[in-house]
Amino acid sequence: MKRPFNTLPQFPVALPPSGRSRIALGLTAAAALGRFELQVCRDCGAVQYPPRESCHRCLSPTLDWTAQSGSGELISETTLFHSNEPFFRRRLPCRLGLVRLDCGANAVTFINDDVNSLPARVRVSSYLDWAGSVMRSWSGRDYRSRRTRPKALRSFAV
Amino acid sequence: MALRRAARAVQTGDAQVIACVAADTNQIDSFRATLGNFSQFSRDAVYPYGAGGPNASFALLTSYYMRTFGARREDFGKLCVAQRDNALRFPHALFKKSLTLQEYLDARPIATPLGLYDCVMPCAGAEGFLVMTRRRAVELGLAHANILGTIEAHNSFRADPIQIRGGWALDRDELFAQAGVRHDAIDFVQTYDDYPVISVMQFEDLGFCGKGEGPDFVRSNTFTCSGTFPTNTSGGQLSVGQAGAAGGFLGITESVRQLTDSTLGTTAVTDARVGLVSGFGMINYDRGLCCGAAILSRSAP
Repeated sequence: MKRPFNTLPQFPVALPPSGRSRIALGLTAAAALGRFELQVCRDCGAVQYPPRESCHRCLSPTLDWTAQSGSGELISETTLFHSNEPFFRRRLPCRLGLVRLDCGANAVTFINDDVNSLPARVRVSSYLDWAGSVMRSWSGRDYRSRRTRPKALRSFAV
Repeated sequence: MALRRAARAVQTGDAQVIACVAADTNQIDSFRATLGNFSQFSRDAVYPYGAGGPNASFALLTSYYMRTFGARREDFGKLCVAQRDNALRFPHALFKKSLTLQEYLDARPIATPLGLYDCVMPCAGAEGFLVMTRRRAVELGLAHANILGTIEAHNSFRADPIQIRGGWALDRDELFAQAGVRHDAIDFVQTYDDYPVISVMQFEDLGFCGKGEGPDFVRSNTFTCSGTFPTNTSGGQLSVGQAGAAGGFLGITESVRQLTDSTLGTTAVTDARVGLVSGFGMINYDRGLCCGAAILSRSAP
């Protein structure tokens, strides 16, 4: 059954995986404000992702959530046809990829439909889903107009 | 890795006999629960992206490898088909039906470029072996194989943008130097084979061919028990099943069987004297954290 985008989901409803570590909620907090932030080490300047408690380069515990451009290169991609979570089963197939961010970190993200062949320049941003926040890669053109909610986003975002 | 550490403990006198046992059960939903809590990184930064589990992670590695080194699905399929042929000779393998290359290629997609037969099957099971000094094994009258050399590496090549090699490449010369054998002395290889791309990386990084030459190496060998370069002679995890950590022991127990003339079924490799067994594991985010390898030999009569 296809339901309008803005109506509440019918129950029982499967939710996306909601487990996140305490430290990773920093990404969600920024996404709630429409920002894409990653941890930056105050001592050595290293940018890191996934989030963790200390700097991956110098082990400093002083890390600041800092706005990032999200630009990077999509270096590998897959189209997922099987999921272990009921939430995703109605939403397959979906595209995932590994993005080498220009800041040096790797990000596994959803890939928006407008991203073409590999290797591709992309912009990564984060947004809230039903259970936390997730990251998605866009081509440069679509990234600028992302507030128009591209069609592909509807299946995953609130 | 367990083998290496147990051997060190026996060698230094900390223990006399060590039983290495790995096992797992498999209930409805237990695999999903494992994936969702595998590591902090995977829970935060991989699992929310479609919850594909290791299938998705290995799809990204396989896709990159294929694009970079010109591997084709047929190359990975050849390994899977050869291992199934081996598994048909091995009574404990869970897969009892033959597999053709066409069936492999036509299988339903799981995470492109991976299809159903690229993905290891979780199962319940156990593997185990004893580690002790050679003298004790002789005194006890136990059939045994000798450890000629072992290596172990963690978090290797972490600056690589994506995994195309493992720590074997750092230590393989050391491994063969410890063992005092050359590559052509190896009669069979047991790779860690949850997905075929990682077997190909092991062929390369352990020095059986150069980096990027894996696809050609696959095309020029048969990998069956009775063919050239016998690999995963019991069928490997891809055809026997992966019982949690016991999957990493599968190659060791099969190697010991090969070297003590106690193979099950008809998997025996003719005149097997020296074998190499290799391990890999823990994709905690986008690549495997650890790898190891050992060279084992038949005990002198």
